[in-house]
Amino acid sequence: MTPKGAPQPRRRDAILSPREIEGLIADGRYIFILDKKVIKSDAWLSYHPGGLKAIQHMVGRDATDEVTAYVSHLEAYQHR
Amino acid sequence: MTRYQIGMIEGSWKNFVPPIQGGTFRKLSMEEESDSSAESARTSSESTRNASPVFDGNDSSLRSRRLLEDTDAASVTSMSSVSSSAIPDDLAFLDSQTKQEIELDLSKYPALDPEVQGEIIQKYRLLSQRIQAEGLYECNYTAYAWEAARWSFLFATMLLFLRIGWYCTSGAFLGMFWSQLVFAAHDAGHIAITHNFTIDTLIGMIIAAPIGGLSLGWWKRTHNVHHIVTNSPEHDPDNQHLPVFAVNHRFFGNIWSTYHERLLPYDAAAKFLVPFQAYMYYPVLALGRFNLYVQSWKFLLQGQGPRKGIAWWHRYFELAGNVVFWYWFGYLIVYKSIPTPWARFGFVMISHMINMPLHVQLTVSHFAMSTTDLGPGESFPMKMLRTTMDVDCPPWLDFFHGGLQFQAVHHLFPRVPRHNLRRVQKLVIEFCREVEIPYALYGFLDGNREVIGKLAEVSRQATILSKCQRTVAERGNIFHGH
Repeated sequence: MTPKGAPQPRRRDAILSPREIEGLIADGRYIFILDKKVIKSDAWLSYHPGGLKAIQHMVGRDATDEVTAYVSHLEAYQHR
Repeated sequence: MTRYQIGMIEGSWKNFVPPIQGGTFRKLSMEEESDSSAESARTSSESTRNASPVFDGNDSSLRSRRLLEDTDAASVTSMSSVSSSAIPDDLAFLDSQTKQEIELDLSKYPALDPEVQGEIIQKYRLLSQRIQAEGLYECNYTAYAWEAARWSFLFATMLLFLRIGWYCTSGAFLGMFWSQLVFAAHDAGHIAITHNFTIDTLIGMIIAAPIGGLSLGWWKRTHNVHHIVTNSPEHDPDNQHLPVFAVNHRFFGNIWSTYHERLLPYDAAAKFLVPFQAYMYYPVLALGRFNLYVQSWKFLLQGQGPRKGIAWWHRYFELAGNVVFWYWFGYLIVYKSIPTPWARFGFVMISHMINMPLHVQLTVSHFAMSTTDLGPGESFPMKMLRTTMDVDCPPWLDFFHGGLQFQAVHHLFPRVPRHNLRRVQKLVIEFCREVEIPYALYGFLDGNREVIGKLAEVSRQATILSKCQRTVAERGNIFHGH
């Protein structure tokens, strides 16, 4: 899946620098970190049963502990 | 979730302040885009993340954001400087209060540097694994059988007293029945019973809507945010109670609620009520249930809940449930089974007001705790333990507090079933000792005293400020007059 807004397709395991991630967030993307993975949640926002605000407070942050505490990993993977 | 993965990070991640909290993010320039090597990116200055928690972690960063929206060139630092001469006296007073509170927190809690916070996170994750390994996520269904027996007893007793015409007594039992069920709805809302999203949510919605006349969806929407930005005056809806209560002095400054997306004005009503808030705490909480009807209906009618995904139908389920509620409660019990208007009034008021201890329980764990924001570098476990306290009680009283007495433990591990929290508490105390985070534990009465004391203190600050009303109004115009 090509992320919206990215000029050319990139690999999921490509290393993104903090500056690149800052730039994506500046462009309005909803990006957070989960277990070292960079998650762009824009397409998933309206499906999140826990609402938009909860995600907005995680943009630009490492959300690993919050996500693990709040929804089990299994469930986090299922809800999409 | 991996299908939304667009890359990986290298090394440890330094948190940004999220845009909703006032963080500013720089767009990639053309040169950076063509040469997006990690090296050049790292050397550039890091505007949002090097925020000093003392100044930028508090509401002044948010204020400056409001200003920035209109005048791009405005400097953030000049706005957050406490000693700036351009700031009126009352603002200086508020900011120095905030600064004092932050300094107090910084002296009581572990340092914010990445090594210290990183170690807290590591130990927290180990603790989490241990809780999993010891089977503490497994629900004790026998305990719920006892709960169900208690609910049935309370409801049957309500019907019995209704039949013999003891209407007020009957109302009291209905209120206790609701109180007890709320604890189960809370467990269900956290998917902490069966750990299956749909089953638990269904249990919670049945308790909330057809039985309680409220909305679990409304509660979840506020509660999810509450668990993430606990006790933040700008962001946590459970901290925002103007015009009745100002839990913190920052509410005197007309702060912007990112949850309600509106200004929380410190208006004439607030100025009148807040000085008495320590006396109003119990009376207002006794009427809390009436407010919950309003909030629930607003949520359901406006469709503020999820419209897509696995929860799209919850709104319709809860709307139907509320019709069922008003049929059995409003029509069958209040209208058909109670003969006189006064008896009806007594029944409704007592059944609602007896929920007061429940509403105290819901607020006592946070109202007396810190409301300061120490910035994005603070770890999740430290933030939870700094903003939340537990209530000590003997095990036989656990049913009365319904698991909410282990609020801090619950904030660390929200999915742990209620009846296991006492066992998890032991592990959390051990963890706190290890990472040197103070674990706040009060008796129920002492906890109440703390809350009343805090409310009275904020009232006193309100009195000090009231002489500066004119400047407060001026500032409202400066920052929010567009």
